[in-house]
Amino acid sequence: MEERIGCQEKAERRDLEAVYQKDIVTNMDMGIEIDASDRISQLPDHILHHILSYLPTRYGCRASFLSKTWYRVWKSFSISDFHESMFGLRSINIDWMPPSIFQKREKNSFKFVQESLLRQCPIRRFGLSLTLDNDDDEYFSRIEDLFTLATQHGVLELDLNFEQKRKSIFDLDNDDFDILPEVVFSAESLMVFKLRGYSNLSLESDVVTWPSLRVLSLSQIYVDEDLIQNLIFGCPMIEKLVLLDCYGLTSIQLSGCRVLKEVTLSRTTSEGFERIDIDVPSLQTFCYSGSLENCHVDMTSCKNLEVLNLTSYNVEEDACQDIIPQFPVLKVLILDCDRVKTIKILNRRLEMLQVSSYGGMEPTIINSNIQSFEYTTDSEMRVSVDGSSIKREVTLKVRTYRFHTKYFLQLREFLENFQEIECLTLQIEPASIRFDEPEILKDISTPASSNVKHLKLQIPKSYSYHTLTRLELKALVNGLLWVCHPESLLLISHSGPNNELIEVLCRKLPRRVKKNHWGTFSLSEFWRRPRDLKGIHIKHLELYVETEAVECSALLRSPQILEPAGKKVRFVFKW
Amino acid sequence: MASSESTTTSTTTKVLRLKSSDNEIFGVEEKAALQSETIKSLAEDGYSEDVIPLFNVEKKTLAKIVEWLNKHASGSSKEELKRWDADFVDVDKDVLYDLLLASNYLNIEVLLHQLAQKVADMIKGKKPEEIRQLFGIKNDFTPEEEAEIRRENAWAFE
Repeated sequence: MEERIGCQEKAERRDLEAVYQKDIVTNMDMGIEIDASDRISQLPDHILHHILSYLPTRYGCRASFLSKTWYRVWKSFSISDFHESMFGLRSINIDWMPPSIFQKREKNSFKFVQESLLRQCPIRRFGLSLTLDNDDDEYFSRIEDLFTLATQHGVLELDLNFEQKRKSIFDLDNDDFDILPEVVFSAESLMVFKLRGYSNLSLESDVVTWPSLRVLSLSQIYVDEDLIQNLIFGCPMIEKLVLLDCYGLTSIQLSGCRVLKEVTLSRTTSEGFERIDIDVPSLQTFCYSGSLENCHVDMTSCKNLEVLNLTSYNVEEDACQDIIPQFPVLKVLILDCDRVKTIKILNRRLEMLQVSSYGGMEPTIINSNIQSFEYTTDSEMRVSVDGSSIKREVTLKVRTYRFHTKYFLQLREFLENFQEIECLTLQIEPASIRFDEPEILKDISTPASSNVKHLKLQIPKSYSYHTLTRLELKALVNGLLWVCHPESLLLISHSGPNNELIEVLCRKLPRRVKKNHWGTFSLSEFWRRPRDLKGIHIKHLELYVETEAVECSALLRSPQILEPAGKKVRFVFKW
Repeated sequence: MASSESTTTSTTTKVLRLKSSDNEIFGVEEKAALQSETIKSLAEDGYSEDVIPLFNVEKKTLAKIVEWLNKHASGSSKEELKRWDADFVDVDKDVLYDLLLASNYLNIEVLLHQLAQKVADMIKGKKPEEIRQLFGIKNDFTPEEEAEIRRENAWAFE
């Protein structure tokens, strides 16, 4: 450690010398020492610290290799997250490493953690990730010391991740290490406690005193109901409870938590909960993910629930239909339930609804005032809207590969359910697009509706769009403008096939305007060569200030407008 | 969401005028502009009737900042903001740098967090040499110094 400090001082001295003498001269004279484009390194230290704080410690440490600036920044940065690799115990080289080196490394690592922790004062956060497969008592007592240190220095947040390689977490009889010292469970300052993968969490009944704790999160731990009760009893200020894949927990009963606002439960295994009994009037958010088969859910006293997120592959329609109306002030409802094919939504205060179901779900929305509606489907698109108004935004995610004529027809019928849509976001990932089957559309002669004000098209960047030909992009444009007549169409440059699509629009649409003269009219011509567009121009939204409208031809002449990625290009239509 | 990107200036809400270092003036509703602590304190200092000069921010950067301020004052849902923000920070490194400095100068904490996160994401998972190339950082260590640092932090490379 002394060596390291020595090295640090040396480096800092060198830095200073460099700044005052050598580098200035060389930079000014030759301009080669530092790349002029390296503006990131010139940011103030506290911004660089900020960036480092978002990196896992290992990558933060690697950043210290970049240059002297980054080394200095790293050395003055207090780290709060530690990964076992720092302990020098997880390495493919370990088996042949001489014990003396191994021990030295281990000692250095612990010292490194300790010093880093003490650099924060008080210790705001201590994050630790370890694999517990070591039999060395000294090792565990060192870890225990770290927890004691953190607790004594008023740690606010503990985030602990453990892997247990050699012992199964189902093995309840293992009498192995207990590295969480009791003092942790009476840390007065602790506000956040997160623990993952720690099998033998067993507590005496009144050992937990966490008067400041706001967030408690346990995952992949074997716990039973008593233990959860025990923990929660010691946390009078608990606001958020997260239990992810806690084996052994078959039912959960929550009551007496006066300020509990958010509960998240999940079970990835096939067995779900038998009973969920939540009597917490302050609860605002409830998220559940996993099986709900034969589960009794009683949340009738949660009258203030505003957000309900239900992801369950096997919840039955009836059960789901029973749960949802229990919450009179529900604002956000997210349903991802494959077995639910139809559902009635009567919650009057609902502002946001997201439904997703493989095979398609048909929600019936009655008398609500939804501002935002998101619908994800891989096949049919169906919705009934009765006495409701969905005003602001509708997002439609269509996960179908063959976006053909019948889909455009479905889309049109789907949109007809809404009186007015301020913004429609259409997210598609087609492998093929066709809009050339007149027999499918022969019964429809009315022009497209103008209930969609703004259309935003998203085709994922990662999606293998290269398969979309120019002909298919043309079909997409034709199809979409057959479905609706929006005031504008927004595309983001360099996102998916958008640049190509922008070019297609620029070439195609002005022709559609020109064709708009008197002439014979037939249905087949109408959809093949529509004559409905009166005007088109492009608003290029790089700047917030409204830019001058650009003609399509101008954009074709100077495609550099689309550089760099992320430019918003809005086509404004006059119908 | 599309509508909120266009200028909405009603007669009842107060509009602050922000001037970039290259003398472009942007009108921003007070509610949106006050997300910046710097603008807030300048407005409190009596600049609010007048033009607020922001000497450290150029036109092109201020335009992006104003876009962000407006979006975050538009009452969009959390989900929608998340998507929008992801689009917003998806820019090249020079723009990122300008935005970082500007959000630091203007003291817009949320934006600063988002941008720092974005840079961190760009660094994450890359080898030092790749990061140097990405940002044009010059390696100014001597081989001995580099070896020493590598020894010292061997764990970060295992």
